[in-house]
Amino acid sequence: MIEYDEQGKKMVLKLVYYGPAMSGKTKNLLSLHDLIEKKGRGDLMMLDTADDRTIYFDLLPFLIACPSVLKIKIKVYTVPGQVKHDATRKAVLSRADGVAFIADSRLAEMQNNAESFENLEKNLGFVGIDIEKIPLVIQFNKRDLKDIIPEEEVRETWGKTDLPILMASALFGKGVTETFWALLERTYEAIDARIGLNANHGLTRESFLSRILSLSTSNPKS
Amino acid sequence: MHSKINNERTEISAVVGRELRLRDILNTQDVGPLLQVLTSGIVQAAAVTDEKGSVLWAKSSPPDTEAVHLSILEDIRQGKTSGPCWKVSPLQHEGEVIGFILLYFHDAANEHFLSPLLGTVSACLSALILNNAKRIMTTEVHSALVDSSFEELLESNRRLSASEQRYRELSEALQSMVDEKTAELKKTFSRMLKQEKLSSIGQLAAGMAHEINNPVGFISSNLNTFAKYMHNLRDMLMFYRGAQGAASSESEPLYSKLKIDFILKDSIDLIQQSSHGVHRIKEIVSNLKDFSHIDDARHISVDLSAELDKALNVLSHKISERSVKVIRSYGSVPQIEGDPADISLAFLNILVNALDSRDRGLVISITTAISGPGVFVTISDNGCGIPAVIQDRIFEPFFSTHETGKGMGMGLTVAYDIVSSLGGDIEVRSEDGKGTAFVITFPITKP
Repeated sequence: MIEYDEQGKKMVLKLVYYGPAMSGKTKNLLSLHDLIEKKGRGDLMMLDTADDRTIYFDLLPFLIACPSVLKIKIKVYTVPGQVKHDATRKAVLSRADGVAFIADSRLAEMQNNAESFENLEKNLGFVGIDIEKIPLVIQFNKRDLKDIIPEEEVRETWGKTDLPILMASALFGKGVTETFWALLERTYEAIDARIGLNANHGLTRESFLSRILSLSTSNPKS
Repeated sequence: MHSKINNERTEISAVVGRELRLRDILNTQDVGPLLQVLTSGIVQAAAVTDEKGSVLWAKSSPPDTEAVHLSILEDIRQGKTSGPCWKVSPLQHEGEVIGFILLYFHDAANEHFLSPLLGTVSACLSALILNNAKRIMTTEVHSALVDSSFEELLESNRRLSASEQRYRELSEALQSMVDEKTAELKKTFSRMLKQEKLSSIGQLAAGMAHEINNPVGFISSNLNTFAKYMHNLRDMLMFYRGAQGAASSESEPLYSKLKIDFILKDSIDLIQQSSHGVHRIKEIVSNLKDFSHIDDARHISVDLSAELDKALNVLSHKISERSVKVIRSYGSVPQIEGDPADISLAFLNILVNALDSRDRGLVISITTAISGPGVFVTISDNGCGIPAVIQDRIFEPFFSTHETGKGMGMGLTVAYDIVSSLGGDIEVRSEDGKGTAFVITFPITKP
């Protein structure tokens, strides 16, 4: 949690899209940006400095007003996937409230996925977050490509964990909102358990989700 | 809760996502010129406020009307005044309203200019906000990265220092090992040299003793026989002379002329002197044998006074030739355990050093005494002394003040080695130009 100011009634949450380089983290945010109504969200800010690739992440902010005076701001970030940008990943990851791990479904990328996930575990530890407790969802992206790992195999591997596993094709806007939804659900539960979003602020899980995911009418899925 | 979270996270300095307020994002350099331009045209007052309406920057035209305008602004903020003279537009950041821009003009007729103007100003400030926010976030992450790289550098520097320290210790240990081995080698070498020297002296002495003893033996024996013959001859001569009668004899003038009385007396003297000479030769040979200790077993009880005398005896030729005065004051000291050949060689080498310290008027005094746990032998001279700068080096092998070819520079080294091998020590006390004293300490042998 970035900020929780009970007097000012403002809470700022941080969600992070983690994963290996080129797995489609930014594409997820771009799709979310397009799929979700302008009302209640800010613009996607892409920090991609041309001459310094070490500082490179995206930010998509969402705003929710509770029935109480509490206002919740959710900042969704991506991290740079390249191995050398580990310091940036740590800075983005610190105080995160939830993580979506975006894996690349291509068979050739399995090694990179594993390494990136190990890196996530290590860096969560570094910033003092317990990977067992933080809301975490896994997305296998690029399902539209050939030479990808079969879904059954993914489910077999990850089924042992109780983590939500989602198949996606961010390029075509598929599975993007579902992933975000799953992450928000878990995040709501974690925050609710801590500060009583429903009990103290009258914000139910359904209204929390629907206030963010009031999908744009241009949603290709509808 | 807020403070609790802060406490939990203090160890993490780099956090992306800090909430920014308008005051954090914009500064006077950004906003000031814009307001200046606005108020120099149709607008009489312009202001930028935060999300709660508190004025952050404001400009009025003419400048002295600022107070009036601010009070009007305050009224508007509290909802007391409104009207066509005011235009307000929100400023957004990350989807949130973080401030407002307000324009005020006296003339209601200009209202139609105002909306596009406000649109332009608002767009302009929004672009500024976006760019500044990006810059701030970039800078924050950048500083975090620099900080963490700096931490990493410090850490790697610490590791480098540690390993450098380790290598330095290793190299120091290596140096001391090399020093140790070198010292050991030097010691072995000097001992070897000493033994070599000793054995050649010994062989020479043994050879000489053997060669000299034989002729000396028969010379001595012959001289004894010859003395007896001379006595017989004299007795016979005296008998004849007495029988003839001393005064009348024809032989008397010849007897006198040939100084037979004197010859008879002197012959005995000559033989006696020769015998003394032969005896002296025997003594010298015996000393030489004693000194080289060809016949002695190693490590026996040694009488230091006797060994000093032997060394002096060996050097007696040099001592008498240069009229050196030797003062011996031997105390009553116990015998010590050691190799007599070694010990007298040590004394000899120190005495040789003393003999070289002065040409004329040299006085060497030798004292032995017992003090505390040891026996002290002090050999001092009134010679030229040893300069302080080389005092530390005189026991080093091959250190010599003589020109090359005159002495190897091993004498004192060998002496030191001998004494230290017996658990003793040699101390040098020297004053330049006044003399030198070598104090040799031997530990008293436990009975």
